[in-house]
Amino acid sequence: MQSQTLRKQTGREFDSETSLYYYRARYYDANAGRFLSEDPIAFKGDGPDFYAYTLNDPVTWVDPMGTSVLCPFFFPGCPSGLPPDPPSPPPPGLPQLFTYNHPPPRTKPVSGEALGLANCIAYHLGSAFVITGGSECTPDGRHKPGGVVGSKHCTNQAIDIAPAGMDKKKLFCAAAGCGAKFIKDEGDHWHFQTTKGKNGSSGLIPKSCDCK
Amino acid sequence: MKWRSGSILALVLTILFCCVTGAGQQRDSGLDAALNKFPGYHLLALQERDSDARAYIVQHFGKSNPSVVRGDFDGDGHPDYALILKDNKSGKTRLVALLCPAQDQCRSVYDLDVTTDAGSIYIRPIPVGTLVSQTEAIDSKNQAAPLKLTSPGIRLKYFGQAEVVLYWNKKLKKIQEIQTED
Repeated sequence: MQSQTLRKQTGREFDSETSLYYYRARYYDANAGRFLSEDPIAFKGDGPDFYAYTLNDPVTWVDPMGTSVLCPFFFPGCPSGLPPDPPSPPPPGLPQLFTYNHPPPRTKPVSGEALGLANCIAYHLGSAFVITGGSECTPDGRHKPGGVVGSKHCTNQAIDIAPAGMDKKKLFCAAAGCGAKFIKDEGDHWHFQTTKGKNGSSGLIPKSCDCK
Repeated sequence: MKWRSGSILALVLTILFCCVTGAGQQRDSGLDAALNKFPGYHLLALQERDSDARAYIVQHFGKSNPSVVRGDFDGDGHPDYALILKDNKSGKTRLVALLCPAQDQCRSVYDLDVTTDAGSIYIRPIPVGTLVSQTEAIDSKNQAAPLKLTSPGIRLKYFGQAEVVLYWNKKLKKIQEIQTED
């Protein structure tokens, strides 16, 4: 019988035949509640159990890559807890940890990975910041008219942040710790995305950070 | 003596005032000719930008018009124009580039609808010799090769979001784009 691959609450693929979830970096056994291999980031994680998922507390923490604790479930964009547990309803009066410089259509609110990244950065920084570029996309798949097809803004994998009043090193480190794979200083804004750039470039991702 | 030096000072100030105001009143006849090609449109004014873009433009580019770039884009020795124009009625906003082999003979060679971003856009000239390459944030199959401008280009800036460089491709005889920021 052919196994069925489904996407469940954390957005990861579920193989019905093996009852395993693939978390990009490793497989997760939903029945056992554990990964089948060690966490690739091992001691860099927040706990001593390299087979655990998000401190063994998937209701509060999520880990879309299977490699690091990211953000609390109640922030928009963070995937909810692992299946089969139903997601908890977000608490009322959700705090606004970041703002947009303009309402849509000029700056379109982010979702998906970009929202998860923004929430995680805000959570780690503990301070507000302004998003100047979100998920704006032309009908033919460009971030802006005249641009090229393939911008990560169009796939909710990129955000632009206003530099004003920000600690560049702290922000870049927070972004790196939150799973950003590419950073670029573009003068009037800083660009962050959850995938690498051309030819696997990481841009200005810090090589070493004390992100505590 | 005092009277004489006071008169001289007044005369100098008068001459200076006349020169300054005269220069301010000088019209760019080439620009007028280009604008005449678009009846019902006006140059997107500074006041029509959003406050953050407006403040940035004023701070960095002073009094130069953020809706006009004048340069010899095709290298024929005559000034050409790039303009950001807004329809007086509909509000539709366009970036157009015109080649002007002679005054009153401008022809449009590029037209981009930028209505959605009218509050944030501005254009700046790019000098000959500038190296332009596509942003490495985008790993696209149709990657534009880096190039050194052989004639002046146009920097189209979406404040806080992106940047696209426009240049005249002499082989293809058309304006082409390279996205330099995302």
